[in-house]
Amino acid sequence: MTSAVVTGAIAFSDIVGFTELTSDHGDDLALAMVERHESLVSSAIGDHGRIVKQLGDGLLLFFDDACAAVESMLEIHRHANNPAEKQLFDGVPFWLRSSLHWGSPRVRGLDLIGHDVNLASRVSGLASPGELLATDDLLNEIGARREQFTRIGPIFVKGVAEPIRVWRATASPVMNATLLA
Amino acid sequence: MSTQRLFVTARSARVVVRAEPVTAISVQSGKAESVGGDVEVSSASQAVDVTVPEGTDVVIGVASGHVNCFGALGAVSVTSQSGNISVQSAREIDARSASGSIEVGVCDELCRINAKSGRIDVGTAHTVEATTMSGRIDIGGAEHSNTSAVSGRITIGSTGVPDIVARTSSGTVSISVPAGVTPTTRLDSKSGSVRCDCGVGDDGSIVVVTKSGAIKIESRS
Repeated sequence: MTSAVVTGAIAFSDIVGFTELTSDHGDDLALAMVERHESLVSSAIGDHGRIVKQLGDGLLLFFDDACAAVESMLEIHRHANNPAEKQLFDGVPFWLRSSLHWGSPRVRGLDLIGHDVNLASRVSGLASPGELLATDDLLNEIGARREQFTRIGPIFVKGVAEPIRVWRATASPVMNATLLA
Repeated sequence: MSTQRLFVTARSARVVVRAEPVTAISVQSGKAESVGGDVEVSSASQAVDVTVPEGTDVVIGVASGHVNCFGALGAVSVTSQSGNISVQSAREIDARSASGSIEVGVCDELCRINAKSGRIDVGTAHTVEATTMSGRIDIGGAEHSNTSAVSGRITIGSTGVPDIVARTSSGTVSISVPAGVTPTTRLDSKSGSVRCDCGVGDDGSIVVVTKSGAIKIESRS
């Protein structure tokens, strides 16, 4: 059985500490956060990409263009770091983290499936609040913009034999930076 | 300062890097190759042991082994899934672990740490950015710190004039400042107790925001 393959930037955005926050503060807050996350991501990516699907507190995104993907993901963090966002959940931290990987997943209806999707998801798990991490494959697609990234240690991903080189966007905003605003 | 960089990739091996007053990188244990002037060392399960010149930049990735860095290194980046990480001294540090603990002795510039559930312990650093979900963050002394925890506890010792931002969901935040220092404070806990033993003035700034954690600021005698 074969299905179409699409090549582009695969991104993950998720809410840091969502399991703990849900346990501490309940399902109503969890639902509100998930809805705010989706709304914020939709607004930030505009026509540059699309939300493929929701996975718990995470969103799988897809972009045709790698540079647009980088800019859109940083825009998500800039939106989330807006002081007004911090007032939304009555003191409960609303922190996002994200990852980007360039690959060729299989298309199943509107969904994307495959190794590259799994890899992008795993990389996001190592990101700090407000941080965008990207793989080597993504950086190979962005030309001079790769200078906006610094290399961090390679990571091992479950089920993948070779380590994955990972980079951090130096423009990642620090989530607490505007607390004083 | 050494221009040769060290890259280490090890799946389940222990990694030891020693910075010493030598002129070149030497690999005592591990498979090494020279790539563009840098040294890349890899290992599946055999321990890695490397000696580098002081000030060398090091990038390490391990799945489950422990990482120990001794001596004065340059920029150090370490990622680990479950092993513990310790760095005695470095100019700059980026360390991440899913479940292991992370310990830093001295960091001259920026020390960025992310540990999901393991403990974070920083001796002294110029600037600390640290994040944990359920682990605990202890900073002995820092000029600037920006820390976040979900349920973990945060303890910070400020050196000089404080520049501190700490945020938790339910974790307690304890901060000590030098005697006589009177910072501007914003201490906001929705349901936890707030106690500030130091005077309030304009000697730097302390901002703590928590949903339900307690906040304690004290003056060191």
